[in-house]
Amino acid sequence: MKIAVCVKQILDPELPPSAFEIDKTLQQAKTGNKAQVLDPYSGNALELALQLKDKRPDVKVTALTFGNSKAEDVLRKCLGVLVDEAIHVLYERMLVPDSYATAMVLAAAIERTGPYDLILCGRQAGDWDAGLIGSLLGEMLSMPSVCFVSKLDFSDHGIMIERYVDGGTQVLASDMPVLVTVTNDETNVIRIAKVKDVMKAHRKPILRLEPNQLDIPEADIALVKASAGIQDLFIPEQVSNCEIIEGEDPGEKVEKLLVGLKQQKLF
Amino acid sequence: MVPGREIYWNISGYLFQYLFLGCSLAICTYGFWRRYRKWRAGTPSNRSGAVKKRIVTVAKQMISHSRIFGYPFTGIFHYSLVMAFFVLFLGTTAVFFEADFGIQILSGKFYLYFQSLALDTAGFVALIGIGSAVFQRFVLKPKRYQNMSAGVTTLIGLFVLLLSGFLVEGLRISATADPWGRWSFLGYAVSLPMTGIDIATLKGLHQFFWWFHLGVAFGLIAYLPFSKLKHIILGPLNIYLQRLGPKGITVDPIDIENAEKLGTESIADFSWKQLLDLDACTECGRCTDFCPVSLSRQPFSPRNVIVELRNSFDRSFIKNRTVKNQEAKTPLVLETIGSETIWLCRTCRACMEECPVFIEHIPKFIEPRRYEVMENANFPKSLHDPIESLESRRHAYRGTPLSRSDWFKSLNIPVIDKTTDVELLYWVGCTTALNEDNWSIARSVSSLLARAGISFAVLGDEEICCGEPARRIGNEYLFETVARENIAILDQYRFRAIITACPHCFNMLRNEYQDFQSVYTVYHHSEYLWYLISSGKLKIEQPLHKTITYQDPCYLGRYNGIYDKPRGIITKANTIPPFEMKRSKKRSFCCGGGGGGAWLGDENVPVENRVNIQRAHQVAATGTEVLATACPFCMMMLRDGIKTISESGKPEVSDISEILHSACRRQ
Amino acid sequence: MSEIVVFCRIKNGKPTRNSLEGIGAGFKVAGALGISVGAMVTFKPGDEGAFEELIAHGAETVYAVQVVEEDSLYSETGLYAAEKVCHEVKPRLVLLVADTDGKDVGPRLAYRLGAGIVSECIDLEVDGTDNGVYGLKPVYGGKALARIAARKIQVFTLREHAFEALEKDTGRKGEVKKIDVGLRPEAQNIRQIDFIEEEHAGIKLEEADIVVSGGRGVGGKNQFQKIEELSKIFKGAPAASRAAVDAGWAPVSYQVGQTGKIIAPNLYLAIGISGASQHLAGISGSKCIVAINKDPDAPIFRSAQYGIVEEYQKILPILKERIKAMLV
Repeated sequence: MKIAVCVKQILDPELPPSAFEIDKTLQQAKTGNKAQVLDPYSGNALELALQLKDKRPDVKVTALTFGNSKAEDVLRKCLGVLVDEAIHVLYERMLVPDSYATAMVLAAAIERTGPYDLILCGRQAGDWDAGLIGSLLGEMLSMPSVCFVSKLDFSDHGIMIERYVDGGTQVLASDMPVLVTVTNDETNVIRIAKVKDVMKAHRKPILRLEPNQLDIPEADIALVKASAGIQDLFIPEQVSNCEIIEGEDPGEKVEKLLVGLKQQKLF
Repeated sequence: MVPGREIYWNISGYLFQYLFLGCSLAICTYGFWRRYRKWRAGTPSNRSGAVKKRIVTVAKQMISHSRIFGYPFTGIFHYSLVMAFFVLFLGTTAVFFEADFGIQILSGKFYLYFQSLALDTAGFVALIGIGSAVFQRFVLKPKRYQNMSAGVTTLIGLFVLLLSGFLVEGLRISATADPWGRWSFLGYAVSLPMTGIDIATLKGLHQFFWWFHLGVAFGLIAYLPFSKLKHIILGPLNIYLQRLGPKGITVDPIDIENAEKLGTESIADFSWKQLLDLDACTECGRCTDFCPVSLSRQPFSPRNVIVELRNSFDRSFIKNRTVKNQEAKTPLVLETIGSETIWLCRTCRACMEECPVFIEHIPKFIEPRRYEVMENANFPKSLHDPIESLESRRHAYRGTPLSRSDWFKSLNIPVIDKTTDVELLYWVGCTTALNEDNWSIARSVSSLLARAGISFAVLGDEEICCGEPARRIGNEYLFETVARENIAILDQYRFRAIITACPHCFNMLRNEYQDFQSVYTVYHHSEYLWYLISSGKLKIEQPLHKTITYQDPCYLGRYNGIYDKPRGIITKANTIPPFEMKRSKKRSFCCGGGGGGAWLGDENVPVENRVNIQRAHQVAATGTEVLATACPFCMMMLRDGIKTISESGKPEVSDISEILHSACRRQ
Repeated sequence: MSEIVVFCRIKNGKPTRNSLEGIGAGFKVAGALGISVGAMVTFKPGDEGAFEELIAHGAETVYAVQVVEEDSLYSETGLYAAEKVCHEVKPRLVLLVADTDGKDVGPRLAYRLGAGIVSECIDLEVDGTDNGVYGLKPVYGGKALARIAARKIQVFTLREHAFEALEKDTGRKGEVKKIDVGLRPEAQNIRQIDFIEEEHAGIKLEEADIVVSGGRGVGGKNQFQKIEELSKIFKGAPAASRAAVDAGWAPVSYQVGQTGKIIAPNLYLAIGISGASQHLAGISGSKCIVAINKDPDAPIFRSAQYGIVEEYQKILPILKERIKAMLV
């Protein structure tokens, strides 16, 4: 059984606001030597794949990423937690962070290296927060997709899927192949790698592909051309109208707060 | 007549004693050989070289007894016992010289003053020493003793030995009506009640007790390696084989790329020196008595760890006779001491500073941590974030909204560049730069340097963690990666020395980076600021007038021996010199922040059992206005502790640089 | 005539709040563009009353697609219906509120229509000179905003509660067009075998007027119970930041923020929450935010109306007693 996990390297979402800068010509955040990390939801997806691998030894997990040469770091991280194979679709300069283009390239790489029984993506990436790749991939690969999955397990014939929806948790049974996008849950926090494995990961091979080696449908290319254009990227001005409540002691502060809240008829 | 006595009076066949001595020495040697064979099951650790220095250290410790005197009563009786038995041993040797080499020494003044008076005095002192030991063990019952009956056999043996010696002497004096008997005052006292007993009975008894005394003595020699007395040999040996070089390095580096196993899984994975430590332990309990975690009544005792490891290793060794079987079957460290235990140590070094036989406790915790982190990826959840953050962000403070340059955003602090030489590179450190409560340290230090006209610069956003938390938590790989990156960064710039206000960074840069053949001149800010005041480069404008006590940071004091300069700075900056807490200097009580403690999260530890809370209570009890310290970890932990226990939030916690900065401010 | 189609949904015979907000968003740009706003819904027999409601909230046309029964995988049904409706209506803009279904349907619909898509917009703008439409979208966890231009056909998904519904006006006129799309072809076998309803002791987090929320600064699982206690006294709901959820102090159902629940209570009490932009994204619709944090520079204060700089442990007990006294 083959599982593909699409992972992404992103600018550290916990980068302090004071260190965040924008490159106006590229319409992207400057990376420079700032930390770049495995997108947290990619991590959740990866963990679910590894949990399936823990349960059945015949599961082979492939980590797949699309990005520049720096993005190799996240594949090394995946190899460190013992995925079986890593594929890097290398593209040095992606001028526009475009979801269609990314999905298209990933779909072609999946077609090229597949077939896979299960494809996992993060529900969205923590940089542009688009949340489109998974669903677009499903469409492009003509594969059913299920969003916001928190847990996966094998069932008699296919796979059991737990997902968060409004009002509760839905448990689904599905045949394979199927694509799921993964959301965070206390049970799918990415595991800590053994240092031994991390060291070995640096010597493992990575399959590198260039986008022009991939077979991308004309219609999809047309879609990319027609897709969104970023007009502007800017840091919004923060206007604060916060009233810091001063007081001699905590008691006085609470009193003053309650007076304010009552004035606003908040309760 | 010349004073003296007949050697081997009344004894025939005394030469047989050498046969017995040979036997007991053989048993003794066998005993130690068995222990030696056990140590050899361990992994390598280089303790060779510097023979002269090592011998001098051992001699100093044996003569000064400095660590044993840490408990004055114990110190006095232990010292008495050692000296008394040494004198008695000399007396026996004198007999040996006279009888077997024919060197006539046991006569005249030497016989009277040494062989009679001094030896009896020594015997008397030894008896009092044994009495004191019994008194301590069974009447005083100090908490540090786990097993009250341990060593009792030895004490009885020594007591019987002394008693039978005096009995033999008394019998001889009585039977020979020794004219110089009074010089052997104890033997003489024993002989007094014997008046009236016929000579034959006395001679018979004398013969019996002579051989009895001999038997007890040789018995004790044979028993030596199996008894508490083994410390007579293993103590000095362990001191001899201690790690030389800076105290700041407590663990052996590992050859990560080639090591078969990273860290310590089973007891036999410890180095041979660590195994020798186990045997050298006398269970005196000093380590536990000064361990801040034990004192906070958490389930942790360094002494018990040593004892449990030794017992478990010994048991397995008896089961598997050969060393080869040994490898496969030695007990696992965590099964022996419990998997939680290794994470409780704060690496504060109080135990190692106190241990009279120089046992290295800290590697007993760090080595298994290394195994758990690197081979097993099994370590406390609270440490996952810091380690993960250190991997990707090069600092262990996940979730900080701050960047390293935020503290000097509005200030005029030079950032280092490749074209300019500076006197000092100010290494700020994550704990200062990324915790706003500690910014005052960085601002005070840089302002003082500027005022003194010292050319300095910071690395700003280029600075990364020194790797200290990774090394203490046991991720040696991450530590090495970070250390190498740091060395590459530092090598780009031209500065004469590094100054830092963080003792943890200080110890790393100054001592532990030596493992990478990188030697920097590194000053802790207390050293450099002291130099600036004492050389007149900084002037005190308006000294403070407050009661101040000082918290010794572990990595500054115990690890690097810097106790006086921070105190000196306070004395200059304040009209009242700092007063000492009960636990200070070498015996200072850790804030709980070292060894990963700042990140470990005490969530499952009741508030009153947290190390920082305990120390906060100690500080508050002094009624001081200000608690001074010289470490951002101490600042963080003790501020938290004081806030938790004190309604008023007093005393305030200040770095020595802040105190000096206020005192240097012009009116 | 080209128009804006808003993806709406009827639950319990009434349009959802999100549907009405979506129509409101459509109205924001429809005037400037000179086009109309239509609402697309699926319905079961008995739901017809909701059409009037949609019209009263601004829908000029209701494209109603009858479906047999409520599907447990609604996004499949909704997507199929929306695709058919759009092929017939050929709208210029399609708007979906980015709730669970909207996030699922949006990109797939866009792909099927050959349209561009911008997700999670917090505002829509029209450029007066060339009638271009732009979506404003927070990126990099809210540290930056991107203004993204719409294409010839464009799908926008909208952040929940970022737009306001129009006031209900029964005087509005509108037309209901029923569209028959036939049965959805049976897709691969995915079926619901269980549904575990979210446990909440009191009021539902999304519906609570008062929310008491704790973050990393709360300090532990035991301490988090204090947050829950206070929410009970307030007759509100407890919530948590992702940091607190990740630390295992609070269940995922408490999580508020960009990837948790997006809520808009009257009063949001943030305790020990530093206010990472990802978290602020989930509460920006709140009427009033009160922040209690010991760090005076915590970003949460910039978004709050009232701030108390203090250890929360010192404030909470007093606050609890005072509220108890007031409510008795």
